[in-house]
Amino acid sequence: MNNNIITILKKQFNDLKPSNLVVKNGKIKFEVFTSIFIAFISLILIVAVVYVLNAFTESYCVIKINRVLDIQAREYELLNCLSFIILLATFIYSAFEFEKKLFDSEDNVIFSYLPISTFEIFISKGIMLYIKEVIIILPTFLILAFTVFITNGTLTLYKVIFSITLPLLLPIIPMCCATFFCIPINKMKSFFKAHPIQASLIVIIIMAVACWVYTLIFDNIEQIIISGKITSLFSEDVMNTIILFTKYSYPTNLFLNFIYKKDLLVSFLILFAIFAVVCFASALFINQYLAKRFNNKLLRKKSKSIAPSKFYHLNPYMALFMRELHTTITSPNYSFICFSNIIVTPIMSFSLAKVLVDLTNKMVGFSNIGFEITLIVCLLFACATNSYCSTNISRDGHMALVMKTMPISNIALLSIKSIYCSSIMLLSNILTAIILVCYKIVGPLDAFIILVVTTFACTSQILLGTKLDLKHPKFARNSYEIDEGNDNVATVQVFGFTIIVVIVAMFLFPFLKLINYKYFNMIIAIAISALFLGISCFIYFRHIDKNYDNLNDNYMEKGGN
Amino acid sequence: MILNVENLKKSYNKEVEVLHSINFSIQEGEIVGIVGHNGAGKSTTLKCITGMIPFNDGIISLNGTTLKATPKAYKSSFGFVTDNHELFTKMTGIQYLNFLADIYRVSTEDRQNQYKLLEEYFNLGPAINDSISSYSHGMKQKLSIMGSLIHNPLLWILDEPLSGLDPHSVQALSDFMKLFSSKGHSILFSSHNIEAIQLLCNRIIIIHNGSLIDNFTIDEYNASNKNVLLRDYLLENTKK
Repeated sequence: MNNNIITILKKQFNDLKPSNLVVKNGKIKFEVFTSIFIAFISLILIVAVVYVLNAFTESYCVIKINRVLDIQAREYELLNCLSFIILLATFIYSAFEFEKKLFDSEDNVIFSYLPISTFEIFISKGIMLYIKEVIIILPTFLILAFTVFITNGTLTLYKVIFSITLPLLLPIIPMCCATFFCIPINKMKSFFKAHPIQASLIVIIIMAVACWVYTLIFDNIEQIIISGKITSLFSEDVMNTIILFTKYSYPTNLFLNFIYKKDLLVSFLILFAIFAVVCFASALFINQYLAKRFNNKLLRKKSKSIAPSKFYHLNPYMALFMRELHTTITSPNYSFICFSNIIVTPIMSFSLAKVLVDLTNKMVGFSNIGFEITLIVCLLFACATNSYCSTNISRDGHMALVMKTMPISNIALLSIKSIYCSSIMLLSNILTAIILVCYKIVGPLDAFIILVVTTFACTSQILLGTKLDLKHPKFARNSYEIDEGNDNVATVQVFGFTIIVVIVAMFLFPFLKLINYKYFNMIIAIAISALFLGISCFIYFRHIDKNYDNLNDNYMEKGGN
Repeated sequence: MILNVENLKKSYNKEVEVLHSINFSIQEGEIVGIVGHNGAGKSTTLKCITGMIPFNDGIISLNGTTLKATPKAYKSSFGFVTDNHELFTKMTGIQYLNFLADIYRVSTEDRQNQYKLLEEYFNLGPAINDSISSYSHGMKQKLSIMGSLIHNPLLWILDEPLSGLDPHSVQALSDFMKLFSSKGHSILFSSHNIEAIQLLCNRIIIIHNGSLIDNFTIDEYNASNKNVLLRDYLLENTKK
């Protein structure tokens, strides 16, 4: 391989930094909390996916077409659809990643004046992207495929070998196709950079749509769990559509033909032709067109103004609050993290609470726990999505230090940030309560208590998250974005989950169950969440002035200028 | 006396003392330059004065207020330009200036008047309406300077203000500094540019390895050191 390509590849490997490894005071530290948290959540996700897929496979593969049972055909269709989803996801991810690596990467500025051709840059970044995609796709596909094979008892060594091969070859085609979309994506991103509010709105709309799709899926899962059958979902028309789709779902159907030993020679020839065409076309496009656009992109371009050229006057505290809002809405990333609370919590809480309350109402001895279940579900989503506060200081970057030179009290400056996060959280919790009442999941009093408890719990998270970030900020290396991934996010979420665990434990505590008082659980929930709020307030206000005065950049600890 | 620094000490990790008993003061209308080798403690001194980093011992008073006793009044009296020109890059230039003017409680009329004055020296043109993320180094510096002066402070503190500026911009900044001090305001800045220090400053402070080794006015130096050029003296005493 070309020396330049290998050199750039080595640089990219050196730049790889997992989010749970950080540099503090010149030493690399392993963020234990974050790592355990990520591993735990990943494990839960895998178990959930395997469980659901297993149940789905058992039901789907016994569907008869024209009264004929063909487990292999159903298995083929199922894996085909899953592979196609992976292919689509790979294509979308590749397109955005390619665009980012080629047009937004800092090192391109340095590469531009070195004796490295643009084609070599593209190839080496493409190889790196391929490696990253294989690392994600391989375990994903193996988990899905093995679950299907084991459920049906059709796992063989041959299938294992080809199941490993498919993820190695699958990313190449969507990656090559994705190169043609770099320019449109770049134009779209430039448009959204110039119109950040519109970009944030679109992110919120996409989130809302995703949540709505999630509720649909959840409804269907409820039906499967209750009835044990999915035949009502897969009518003759639906099955015919699926069969037709899998017949023409190139190239995933060709890959799967190898696993199921169907039309091997034809599949091989067609796949070879597809590979040759896309790789050649992509290489030609990169060399003749993208390379030229790449060099032009290095010229600085002004973004269009969105603000009129005039002065206006705000109270200092309102100015700080509006600045927080401005920072959020001018960054789709921050909008997603911040406003996901407002969208995700009400919709997800409603859909899961509805399913669980329906299920428990049908189970003997559990029909009067609607309030408790709804409360736990609401707390779960509210606490899980309430992570924006854990970067309250870090988001400002080094301006957080410059703000210390301004005539605003430390408490006011920090509290405005907490108030901002709290207002978003409160809006989310109020929406949740309204939806729960409107859809009669719980009554008005129950909804009000749920609102109070979730607000107390989330406020305690916000205070804790802000204080943790004040003591251990992670400022971005450049001014434009914050370094993702820090222990504070995990700590804040675990704190929230701890409140939930304590509340559940108190609900189940045998002695307390003897107290036969209708509103007893409500009082318990309010008391526990208020207690945690009190603890957070204590942590927040303790030495807050001193902590803020000591806020520093790590580099300065080594003795700055 | 506008600024008085008394026995300023700063340590990192409670072990490494980077500032050893710094003492100096600034009078009204003075332009004071701090010089020293890299790592001498110039920026650290300025950052302690502005409250950006805490200090371990000493008293700093500005216009009768102190950082610890009356921090808001203290911080209202100066404007600070950092060496890295930190800005809120998601804002436009005008949004940034408005934000700072709000923090310093400058009325709409006053901020408009001050902007008109600053625009003559640090004109950003239509780019004032553009996102700061699109600004060049020089443009960020200009905006940083405008932001630090929007509230017409008594004391203007700048950390390496001349680095990275083209000759026109250096001239514009120098001219403005002279105008600013002629109106009775004081300036404290650090720089490696010995020529600029010589031309602009009334008083020079030399910091060497965290200690203040000399503090003199230009007139005092010229009266007592006729054999050694000021430039050569500064070069000699700013060696590491």
